[in-house]
Amino acid sequence: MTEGDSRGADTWPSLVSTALMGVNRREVPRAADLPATPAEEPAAALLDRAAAAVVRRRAGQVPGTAEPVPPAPAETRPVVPDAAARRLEVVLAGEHTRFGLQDVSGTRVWLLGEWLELATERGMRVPPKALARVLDRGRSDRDLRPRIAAAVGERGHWLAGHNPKWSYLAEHGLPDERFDPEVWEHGSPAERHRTLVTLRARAPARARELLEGVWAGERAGPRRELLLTLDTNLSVDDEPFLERALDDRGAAVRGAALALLARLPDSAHADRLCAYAREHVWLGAPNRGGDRPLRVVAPEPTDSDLARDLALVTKTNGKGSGDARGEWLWALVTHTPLRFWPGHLDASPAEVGALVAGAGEWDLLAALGNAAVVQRDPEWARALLPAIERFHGEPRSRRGQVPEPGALLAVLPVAERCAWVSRLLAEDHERVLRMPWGISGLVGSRWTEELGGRVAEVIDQLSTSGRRTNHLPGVCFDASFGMPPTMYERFTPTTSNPPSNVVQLGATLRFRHEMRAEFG
Amino acid sequence: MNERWSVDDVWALSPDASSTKGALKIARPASWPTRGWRAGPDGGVAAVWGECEGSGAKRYQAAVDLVGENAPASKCSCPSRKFPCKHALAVLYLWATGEVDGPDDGPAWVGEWLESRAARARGRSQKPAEQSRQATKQADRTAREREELVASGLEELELWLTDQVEAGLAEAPRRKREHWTRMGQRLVDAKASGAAGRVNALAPLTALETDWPDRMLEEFALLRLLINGYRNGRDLPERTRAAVRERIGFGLRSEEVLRTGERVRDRWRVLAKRDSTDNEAKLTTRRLWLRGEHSGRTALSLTFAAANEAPKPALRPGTVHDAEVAFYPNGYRATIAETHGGGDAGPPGGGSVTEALGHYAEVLAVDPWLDAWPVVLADVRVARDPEWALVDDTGAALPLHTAECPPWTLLAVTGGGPATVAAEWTPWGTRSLTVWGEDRTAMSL
Repeated sequence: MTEGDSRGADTWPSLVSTALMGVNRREVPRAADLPATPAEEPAAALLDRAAAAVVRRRAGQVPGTAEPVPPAPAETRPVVPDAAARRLEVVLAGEHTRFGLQDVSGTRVWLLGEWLELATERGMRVPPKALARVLDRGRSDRDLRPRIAAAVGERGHWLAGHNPKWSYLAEHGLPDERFDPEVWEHGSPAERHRTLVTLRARAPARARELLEGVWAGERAGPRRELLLTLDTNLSVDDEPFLERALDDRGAAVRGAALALLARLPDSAHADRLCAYAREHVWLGAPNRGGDRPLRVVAPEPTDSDLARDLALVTKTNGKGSGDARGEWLWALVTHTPLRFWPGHLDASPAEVGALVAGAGEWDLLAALGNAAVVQRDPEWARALLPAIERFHGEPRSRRGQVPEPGALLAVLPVAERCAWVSRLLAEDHERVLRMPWGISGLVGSRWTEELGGRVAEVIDQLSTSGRRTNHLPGVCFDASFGMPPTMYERFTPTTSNPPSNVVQLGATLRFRHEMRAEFG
Repeated sequence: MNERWSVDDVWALSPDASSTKGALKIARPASWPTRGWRAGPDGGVAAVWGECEGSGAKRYQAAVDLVGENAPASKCSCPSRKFPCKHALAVLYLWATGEVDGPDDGPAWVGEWLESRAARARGRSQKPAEQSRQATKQADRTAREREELVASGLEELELWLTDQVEAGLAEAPRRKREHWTRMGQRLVDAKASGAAGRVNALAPLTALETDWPDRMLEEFALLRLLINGYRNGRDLPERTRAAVRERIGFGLRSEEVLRTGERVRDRWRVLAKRDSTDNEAKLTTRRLWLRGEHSGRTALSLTFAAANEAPKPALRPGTVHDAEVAFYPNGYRATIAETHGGGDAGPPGGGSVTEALGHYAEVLAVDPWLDAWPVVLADVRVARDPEWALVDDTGAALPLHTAECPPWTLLAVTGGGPATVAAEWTPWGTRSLTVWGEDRTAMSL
């Protein structure tokens, strides 16, 4: 390889071919360019000449030429402190177990994710030595990618550009990145998307105009991705463009446009959907008790105007039309602005929830819950939570479209989410523990002190009750990553013999507490 | 090293991950009711000691000698067969994290142990003078017999090489495994283990995709050169002669080198470290490249550690040590005789690519079998086109060894900017081992 360069026209190749054939069959080549060798015997002469040639070549190696890679851009963020860098090495090497943490899959990814978040929050970056290994983690773990992208600094993005296996990083920006017209003109689809996102954050109208300018020329896949940049700073100004996108020939583009329009409750599109909703859900004439019963009629899947507004495709009558009607009702209620219902049904959001549940209209309830999620409406999420949560508690199996309580809770502020679960735990923790989502599935992994304290009490009860319970491992695992890490002292082993799950919980919290402290 | 160690220095001593884990578990001040460090004559830290409360009634007594012969050396009253054991590591860790005070000579057992070490070292250095004439005679006879044995082994090797070159190397890939191992074993029996190692390394060459005939002929030629070198030993310069003998397998015990070898006291910079583990033999080989700041000498500390011990010496690349080293007769392999303290240092002075190749050519004239030599390159950048390489500011490039490619960490650390790199130059490219990045601190690759 490297030696080949200096072999030149010397006798080496002929020595090799002679050696391959054997000196019994071939004469040892004369080597005028080498010092004389005293041996007479052909084999010895060949090896002596070869030895001289090898050493001469090694000693005579001359430098080659090569073009240095263009240097990385300057960094704006400092590297993390030494202690944090060492902690990262521990996590990357999977050595966290030596701190008493449970050796289960997911722990390492979780810790790495939190480390990256802490670095980003503090305006710091991954030390260069660890970059290659951190970038490798993102190849197999999609969820880590945005956090990796935010924490690897300019150097990480530059490095990723050298290895196709790290190309995923191009989709994600640095926290303080600026729009680059060059990239917008000439970049890869992922890079163009990423730079448009940065512009959208600063100048939403300008970003939309750029997108409109190239809209017709893009293929459907990139069109959808680019359209989703409107998610940031979405406003009524975007409505005309979204209406246009609702007529797109790509179904995925239409779906994306609809999801965005659903978050503009005062648009013309919203008004049209209200008009449709009025025809399909209403209060009937008072019955003998004076109550007005709820009437629900699913739309016929033949109305092409409605199909357009819901990004659906019309169906001719025939088999499966019942399913199609249900799907249309679901889509209609999901995207009809929630502001419509109180006036229409003459009831507050909570009363609407009770009314729908009371009437046994489960599909409508599920769709309303979904509307709260899609339209990100905390008031409705709050109002529908009790009904939805109770609905899940029922043994009856419904269509899988009912939103999970966690999805509704996600619309609420963290503190409120945690307070809601705390209250539920205080009322009947057994019921919460029986829920299939786990506490983290309900509130996510940033718990308040209040929720942490409440869960700690539950863990105390579970581990001292003497009754065998299979909830303990799950609660402890959720708590390991959800509880504020400062609570580790609560689980410091005392004289008694605590369950191993609780010991591991304490170790994990302590590990996270130390990790946090190391960022200074 | 009499400066307080870093935590990394401590873990560098750990024989394996479970020792580290065990040490961390017990490295809590509360478990060590008494602990301290002893001062040496220069006032620096000479030893660290402590008593650890374990599960039993008796405390474990652990101490680490940081300056004596073969330092760091540890002792512990626990039954572990690992060196150092977790208690020794733990007390060092406590010291490194500032949890050990001193100077404090500690209980009597500390002084007794250190004194016994010193006495043994004195004994070793005096023993030869007391050797009886009879013993000397016996040693001479043994040496003569060994020479005869080696000579006969090499004769056989020569025949073996000749036969194959006569019949043609084209046969090599079809040879059975025994063809190679039998010759290797024969050389081991003839006490020529170095030559045996070279023969055993031949078989895998035939598996190379492209240039196995070139590599095979190179190695045959170098073996032939080694045989010639042995036979003409008397006519060779002393260092070359020593290189030949070492490569054949005439090893010298480090005690001998300490007693008779050329000693150089200098500020020795640790340029690079390379550990390689042979899983079959359960042996870790540590190569440490040192360079004397004043003498300009290059020293290779080549040591072997069994599976249950940490490779020594535990010197970290990027540090500099006031130390005396004793050289082997080949003029570059060395063993560290005494250290008088050390600490971190900035990047060492480096040279250009052309200078580096020049140095290699010079040492090749002394030891033509040398296939790894440390080079310190200043202001080199990573290049990728036409192949991965290091380029200096004159545009001269050294290709990187394929084992190192793609060099992601080197690229990440330098960011494409100029850096000082300490590497091993080999006939197959450079292996970067230490890089000094923008912050001028050393990083092992």
